[in-house]
Amino acid sequence: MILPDIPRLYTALAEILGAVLYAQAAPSRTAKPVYWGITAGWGALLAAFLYLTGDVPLLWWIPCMVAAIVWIYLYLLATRELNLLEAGYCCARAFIVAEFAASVEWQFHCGIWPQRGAGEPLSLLLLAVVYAVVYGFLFCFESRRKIAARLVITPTAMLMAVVMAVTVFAVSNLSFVSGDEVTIVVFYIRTLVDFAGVLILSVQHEQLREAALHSELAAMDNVLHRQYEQYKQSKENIRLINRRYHELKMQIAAIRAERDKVKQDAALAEMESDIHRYEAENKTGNPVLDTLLTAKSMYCQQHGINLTCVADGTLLDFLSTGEICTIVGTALDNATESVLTEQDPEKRLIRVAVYAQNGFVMLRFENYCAQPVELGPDGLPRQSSHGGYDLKSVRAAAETRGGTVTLHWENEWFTLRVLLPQKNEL
Amino acid sequence: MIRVAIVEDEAAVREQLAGYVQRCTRQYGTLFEVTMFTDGLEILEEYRPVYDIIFLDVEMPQLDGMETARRIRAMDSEVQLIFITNMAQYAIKGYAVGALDYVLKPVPYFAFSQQLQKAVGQLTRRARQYLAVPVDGGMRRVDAAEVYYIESDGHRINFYTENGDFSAPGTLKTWEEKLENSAFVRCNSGYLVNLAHVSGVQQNTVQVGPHELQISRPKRKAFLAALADYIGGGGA
Repeated sequence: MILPDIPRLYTALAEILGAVLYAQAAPSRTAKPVYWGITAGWGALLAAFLYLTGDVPLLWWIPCMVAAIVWIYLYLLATRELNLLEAGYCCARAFIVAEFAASVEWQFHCGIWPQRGAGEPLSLLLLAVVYAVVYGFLFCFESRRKIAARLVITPTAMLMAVVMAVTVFAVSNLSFVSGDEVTIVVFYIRTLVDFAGVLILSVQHEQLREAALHSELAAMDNVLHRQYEQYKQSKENIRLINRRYHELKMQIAAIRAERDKVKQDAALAEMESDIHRYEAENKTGNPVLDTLLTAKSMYCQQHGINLTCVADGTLLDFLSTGEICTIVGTALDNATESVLTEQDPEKRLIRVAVYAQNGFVMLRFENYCAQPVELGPDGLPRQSSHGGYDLKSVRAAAETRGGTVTLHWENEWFTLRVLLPQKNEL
Repeated sequence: MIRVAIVEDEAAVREQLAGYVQRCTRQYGTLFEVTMFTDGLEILEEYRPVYDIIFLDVEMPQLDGMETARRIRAMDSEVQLIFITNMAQYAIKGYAVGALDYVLKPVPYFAFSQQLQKAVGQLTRRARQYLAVPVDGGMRRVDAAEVYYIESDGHRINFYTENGDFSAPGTLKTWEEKLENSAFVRCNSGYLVNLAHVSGVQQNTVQVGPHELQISRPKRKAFLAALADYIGGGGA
C-alpha cells in the first residue's frame, strides 16, 4: 500500500511550534505584542513557502529544506536575545523536535485512517491532540528545568548539535531516497530515528545545563570564600596596628617622663588624641561589621573615597560571620569599585546605613555613580563591572534569611538595599 | 520654599555652609530659607517644628549635636537631621535619632549638595496625602497614612484604617492607580497594602497593623522588593 507523505502544512506548523518553543529560553528583543506579531507573519511566510514547494522534484527538496531552516534560524536570531552560536543551537533543537512531532503525528494518521485526507476535521483533531501532547510536554519540561544562569554555548556544543540534527535528519529520510515505495515501516524508522535525535539533543542540553549550574555554584562559593579570607586578613592587620599604637603610647609616656618642655607636651598630646581618634572609630556594636568597616575605611582613605556610615551593628548579631562578610563585604567592594571610576575625588562618595524599622533590618549602601547602571531582567546589573555573581551571592544570603535585595540607579546614585526580617519576629 | 537651619559654633563654617546652600539654589533652582544658630541651646530655645532640614554640628561647646538632635526629635518627628562632624565615630550612632546621614568636615561642596538634594527628595516623598472617598451619602476624607489596607469586594472596596473600617463603591484597580506614588502595593489580587503599616512578613502572610493577610506566591517577590525600597527609602 502506498502512503502519502506528511502534508507540508503539517510540517510547517510543527516547525513554527518548535521554533517558538525554544525561543522562549531567551528573552525577547521586543515587547510581547510586537514579538507575537512578528511570529505570526514569519510563521505565515514559512507555511506558504513550504506549501508552495511541496511538489518540487527530489533534487530541489534539499535546498528547500535548507531554506526553511535558515528562515527559522533568522527568526530566532532576530526576535530573541541570542548570539549566532546560541541561535544555531536552538535552531537545531527546534528543527529536530519539529521533525519528530510531524513524523509521530503522521504515523498515527496512517496507522488509523491511511486514506483519509489531511484537511478533514478528524485529521485536524488528531493533529491538534498529538502536537498539543508533544509540545505541551516539552514546554512543561523546559520551563520546569529552567535555570537563572545562562547556558554557555561553545562553538563545539553548537557544532555537535547541528551535526546531530543533520545526521538524524539524513538517516530518518534515507529510506525515502533509496526505496521506491513508501510503507508504514519507513514511517516507523523515521519516527524512531527522530525520537533518538530528540533524546540525544536533550541529553546534550542537560549536560550544558548542569555545567552552567555548577559553574555558578563554584563562583558563588568563591565569593564567599574570598570575603571570608579578606575578613580574616583585615582582622589580623587591625590586631597588629592596635599593638603598634599601644607601643607608641608607651613610648610617649616614656619620653614624657624624661623631659619637661611645654611644646613637646603639646605635640605629644596631639599624637595621643590622634591615637584616640583611631581607637574610637567604627564602633557599631557588631565586631564583624566593625572589622569590615575599619578595613574598608582605611582603603577608602588611601584612595580618596569619602565613606560615611551610620550603623546600629547590634541589629546584625543574628547573622553569621560569613553572612555579614558576604552582604556587607560584597556591597562595599562593589561600591568602592564603582566610585573609583569617578575622576573627581570629590565625587567619590559612599553612604552606608544600617537601621531597624517596622520589625525589619535595613542595610543600605549608596554610591555616587554618574554613569547609568543598566539592570537586567533579574534585577542585577548587566555589566560584570557592577558585580554580577557577587551581588547574586548577596541576594542568596538575604533570601536564606527570608529577606530580599533591590538595586536602583537614580539621579546619579546607585543604591543597594538589603531587607531582612528581624530575628525576634520569626 | 524649603526651610533649612544650620547649627554650628564656628562662624567660618557657618558662612561656608550658607554659601553652599545659595550655590545649590543657583545650581538646582530649589529655593531655601536659611536660619543660623551658634549652639544647640539656641535652636532649642522656644523650638517650634518649622524647619524641613537641620544641619547639626556634632561638637559644640554648650550642648553637643547628638543631645540637641535627641531633644529636637522629641518635639519634631518629621524634620530631617544631618550631622556635620570631623569625627565620623560620633555620627555613627545617628540612627538613634533618625539621622542616617552626615557630612565630614572640612565640608566639600559636592558632598554637601548631594546630601541636601537627598534631603529635599525625602521631603517631597513624605508629603501627606489625603484621599477623597465617595461613600454612600457623601464624601469621606481619609489620611492615606492611616489606611492599613484596601480590600476588593465585588464592585465595592473595603477600607481598613486606624479610625475604623468602611466600604465604598469602586474597584481596587482605580485606587491602585490613584495611589501609585504612595507606598501602596498589592500582596495578592484582593488586597492593596500600605507598606508603612507592615510589621512582619512570613512565608505566606504579611502583618499589616492588627491584620494578618495572605501573600500570593506570584506577588511575593515584587511585594518584598517594594517593601525593601520603602523601608530603605531615601534613595538619592
